[in-house]
Amino acid sequence: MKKALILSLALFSMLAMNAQQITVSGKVTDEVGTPLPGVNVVIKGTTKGSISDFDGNFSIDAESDAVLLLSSLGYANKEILIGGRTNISVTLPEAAEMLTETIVIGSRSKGRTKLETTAPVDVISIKEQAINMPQMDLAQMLVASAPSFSAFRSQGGDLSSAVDPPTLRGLAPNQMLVLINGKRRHTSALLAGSQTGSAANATDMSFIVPDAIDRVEILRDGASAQYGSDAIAGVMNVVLKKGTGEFTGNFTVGGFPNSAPDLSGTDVSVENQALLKDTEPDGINYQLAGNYGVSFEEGGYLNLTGLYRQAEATVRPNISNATPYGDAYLNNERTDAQGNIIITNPELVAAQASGNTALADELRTDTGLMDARGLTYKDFSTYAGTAASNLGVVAYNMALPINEDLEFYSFGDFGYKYTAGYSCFYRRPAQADRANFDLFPNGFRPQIASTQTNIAFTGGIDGTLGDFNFDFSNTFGRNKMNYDMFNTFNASLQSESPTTMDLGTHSFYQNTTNFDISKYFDDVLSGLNVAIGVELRIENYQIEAGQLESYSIGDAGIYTATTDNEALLGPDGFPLEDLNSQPIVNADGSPVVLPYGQASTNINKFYSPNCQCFRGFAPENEANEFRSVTAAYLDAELDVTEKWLLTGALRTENYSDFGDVFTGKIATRYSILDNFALRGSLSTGFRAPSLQELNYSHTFTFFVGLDPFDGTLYPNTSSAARAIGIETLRQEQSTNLSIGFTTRLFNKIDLTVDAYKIDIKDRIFETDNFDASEAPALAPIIGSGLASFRINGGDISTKGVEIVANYREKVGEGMLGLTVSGVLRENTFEGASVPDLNTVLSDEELETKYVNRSSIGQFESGTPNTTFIGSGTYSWGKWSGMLRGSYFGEVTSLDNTFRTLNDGSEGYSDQTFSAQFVTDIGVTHNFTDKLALTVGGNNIFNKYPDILRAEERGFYLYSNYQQGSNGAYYFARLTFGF
Amino acid sequence: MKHTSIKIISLLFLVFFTASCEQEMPEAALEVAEGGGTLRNYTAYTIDAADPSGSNVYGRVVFWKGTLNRTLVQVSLYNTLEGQQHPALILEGASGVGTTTLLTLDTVSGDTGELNDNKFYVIGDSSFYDGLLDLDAHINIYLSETDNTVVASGNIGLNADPVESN
Repeated sequence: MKKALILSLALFSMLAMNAQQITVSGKVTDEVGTPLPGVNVVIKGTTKGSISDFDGNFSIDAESDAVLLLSSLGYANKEILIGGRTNISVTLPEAAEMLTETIVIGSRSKGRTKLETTAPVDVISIKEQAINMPQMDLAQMLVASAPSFSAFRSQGGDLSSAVDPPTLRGLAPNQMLVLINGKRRHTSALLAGSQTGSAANATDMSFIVPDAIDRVEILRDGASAQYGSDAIAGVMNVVLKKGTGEFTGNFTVGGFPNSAPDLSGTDVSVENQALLKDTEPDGINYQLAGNYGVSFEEGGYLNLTGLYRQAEATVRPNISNATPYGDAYLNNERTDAQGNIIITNPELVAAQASGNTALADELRTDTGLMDARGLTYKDFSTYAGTAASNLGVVAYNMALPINEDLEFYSFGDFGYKYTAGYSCFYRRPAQADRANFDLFPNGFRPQIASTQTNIAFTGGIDGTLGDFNFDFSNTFGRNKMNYDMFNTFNASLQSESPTTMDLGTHSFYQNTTNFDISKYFDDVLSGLNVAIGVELRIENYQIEAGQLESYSIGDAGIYTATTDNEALLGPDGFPLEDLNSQPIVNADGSPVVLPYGQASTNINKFYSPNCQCFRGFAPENEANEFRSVTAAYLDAELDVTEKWLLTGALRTENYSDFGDVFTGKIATRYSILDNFALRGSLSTGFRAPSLQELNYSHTFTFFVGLDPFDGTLYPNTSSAARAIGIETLRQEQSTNLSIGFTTRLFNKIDLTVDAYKIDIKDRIFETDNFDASEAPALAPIIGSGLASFRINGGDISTKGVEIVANYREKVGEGMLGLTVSGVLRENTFEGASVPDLNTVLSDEELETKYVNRSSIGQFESGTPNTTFIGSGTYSWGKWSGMLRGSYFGEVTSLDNTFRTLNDGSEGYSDQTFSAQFVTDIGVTHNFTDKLALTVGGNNIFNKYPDILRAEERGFYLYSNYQQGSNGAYYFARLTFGF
Repeated sequence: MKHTSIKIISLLFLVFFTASCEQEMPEAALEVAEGGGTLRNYTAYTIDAADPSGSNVYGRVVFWKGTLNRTLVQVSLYNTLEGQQHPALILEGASGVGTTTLLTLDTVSGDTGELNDNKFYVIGDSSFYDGLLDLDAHINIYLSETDNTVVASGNIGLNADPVESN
């Protein structure tokens, strides 16, 4: 009875509600009366909704006293009480943040939209796009959004993978400038390998948290005259969120199924194909991020962001079939420096003890012993893959009004990052000079780890002083990176060696003080803005040595005589043996005799010195260098007419360590029609050699015959550099030319096409190694060692065309957005600029050594010269989705060594990798306006790039410079708010 | 709904902080049977030439104290006859006296002067090495498996002082 009563009441209520339902029609316009298509119209408190058509009209059935919630991208939300009306006209104002979403990059004047600038600017609304994107980090988000932008992530898990470096237009990471809220961002302490053929210190994008970002503006034009050093390829400005008035967060889980591709038909053996197919999911990652922004009643705001991400490593092995153990190991023939025997195959001893000769025969083979130990060739393979990482960052952005004319602002972040990757070749037990049974009976795979702390802090005051706008600020940034290796050892210490070692610490800090002042003259033609400013920058770079064992030569292989005239005989009366189990004898076959007891020594075993895989930084590599930079600029923007904009800038900078640089820029834009404008710019630019490039030094040890020698990458200020005649590094200088047009077609399609050419003089490269026979002047310094240097190696150029088209249209019940963008590029090495060096090499030999073939190839064709990205977004009611296709053109790698190839011919093992196409997807369902779930993936069809040809298949199996070798990635993300 | 959201989000935080921890890094492959490593205890005896034809085969026999109570026997001879396989036996009593075989070691390769198949002959008897010094025995090296001419012989254990030991 009670149930029946409740049911009746409910039915009555529904009938009562139905009785109040009406059909509401209306029209949505913006503030100037333009109809707004695609506006979401939802009955508040329900999931019921509609969407406005192309003319801004909508219709919806609703209760007569319901409230309609209208929302559209770029406009403020609005709530309308129906109040019994059946026809409602609604005006949506532009969202507050959209009003300021004019471009601030590349201009010190009033904001302009991206179609009004003199140079191409990509505006990527991270705040809007992030929810549907598989990518979690800013660099990869931008790669997926801007075709000229690239962020090479090493697939080798080496130190390069400790940094996410940004690049533009196929140039190096240190040839673009990164700004946060318009202020220069510091770079990483690490001089990391880059995809453009030269090592570079780059801004680490991973410490810039996407959740803290409103949008990213990428200026694709030289801008050194406006922003100083590094802005050769362009400038990226990250605009942080302000007072959002809500807490938003997201939790993402993702991973790689790791389903290896079918390699049948390749020269990879059937056995190895089976091993490569035996995979399991990896690279599982979690990310939790939150952002809260509040606006103060008196003005100003505070925005706080936190992020923690943990990502496991991915493993993409290359199985080499190199001998794992070797005969000496298998037959227990190894001895130490004193002649004591080392039982390396106890399984064989056990088989002998039990009299099982058949098993003993098996155990004397590599495969037999591997089987006995449950190992395969895969266990002895070298791993490529993405490094494991833990990342934590907190960031803030705030402003407080001081009075009506002045505002204090500040923003900054603190981050911690740990990465650990498989950066080294597998050390097989067969390699006797780097083997130790006690520590690593089956060999080892050294891993390198980096621990970073990164801090950035900006404080400043801006406002007006009389008729002038001004901005006074100070920005401090520091990156400190400690390097460790684990699963390694110093073989020359044998069992006494630690297996985890501190390799040293690099740190870099940069303090930049800016004072900018500008004035807008509205009575000069159609408006003139003049800005002047000064900058003072102080930088410091330090290298601290690691622990002694990481760079020392131990005595485990050295034998010291115990008596006078002691013959080097073992307990068995035979001569002691070297690492190859060969007797240590004189030329006539007689044992070597040590004349003096307690004094005479012999290196019986040439164990490899230093930390295996990467020698620690030693005291001779240490550095602590400062420099200061002062700069001044003049910047003017003149609206000659309403249709013609003309801008110019001049800048001079003085570096305490290498002198003065003067740059300039002119740019213009002319609107031929309301929806069609031409634009172009001509500028000079430069990039100062960084403190890292000037001072980084590292040494490795190699053997000539039986003697160890050092190979060192020397700073250019070293005596070795002076001896051979290498000059001090100077700045790279560029000339940029850009011309293009912008248009809006059919009032729906925004299209920009820009062509560019950048010529760079004195690009910094690294030489091959020189020895004293090639450069006798080096002999007193390097002896039989090797020396290499960083040099202004030659001139390069890049030219290309960039096309970006955006289209937005109501389709069906939802809103469709399409973007197509592409880059067609050509990079050219114009030739080496070889100075008169003190060598005995021919001009041709010297040129080849000065800038090697591989570096040239990497710059010219090592990364895709053709890239296209096509993406579509569709939002309908509570659903939204993104589908993106990315095309990476073919790449070609050039080999450095003329050699006998696997087919018996002589030549270089060059290789062209075919073009690749990958597909990303993301679909979001909004359960409420505060809770949404997104699922999707990138490279969802699990496309792998081509495998390397056999001659080059050492570390990697797959091409490294297209979509990477991790395969498909899938994720789920919960986005929430309060 | 708000409370449900808070619960879900709280659960997420709990899962996240439970799941996130120090990176688990793979250890090096340590799969190996017991008994490996460097052997530092040994007792070596000389083997002197005994061949009436003057081949002058001589050298040493070394008894290594292995792990797992095993004894590894190493024979190293100079001037062995190329192409020959020299049987090596440990016999009771002093050299030239005893004839009862205690152990038949692997043959010595005439090409290398060392045991043929394995670098060591393995004695599984757990008490052998500890009783070696009291063992009344000697080692004989024969010309070939078909010619039992003793080309070299040496006393061990009770019958000789070690030439070297550790």
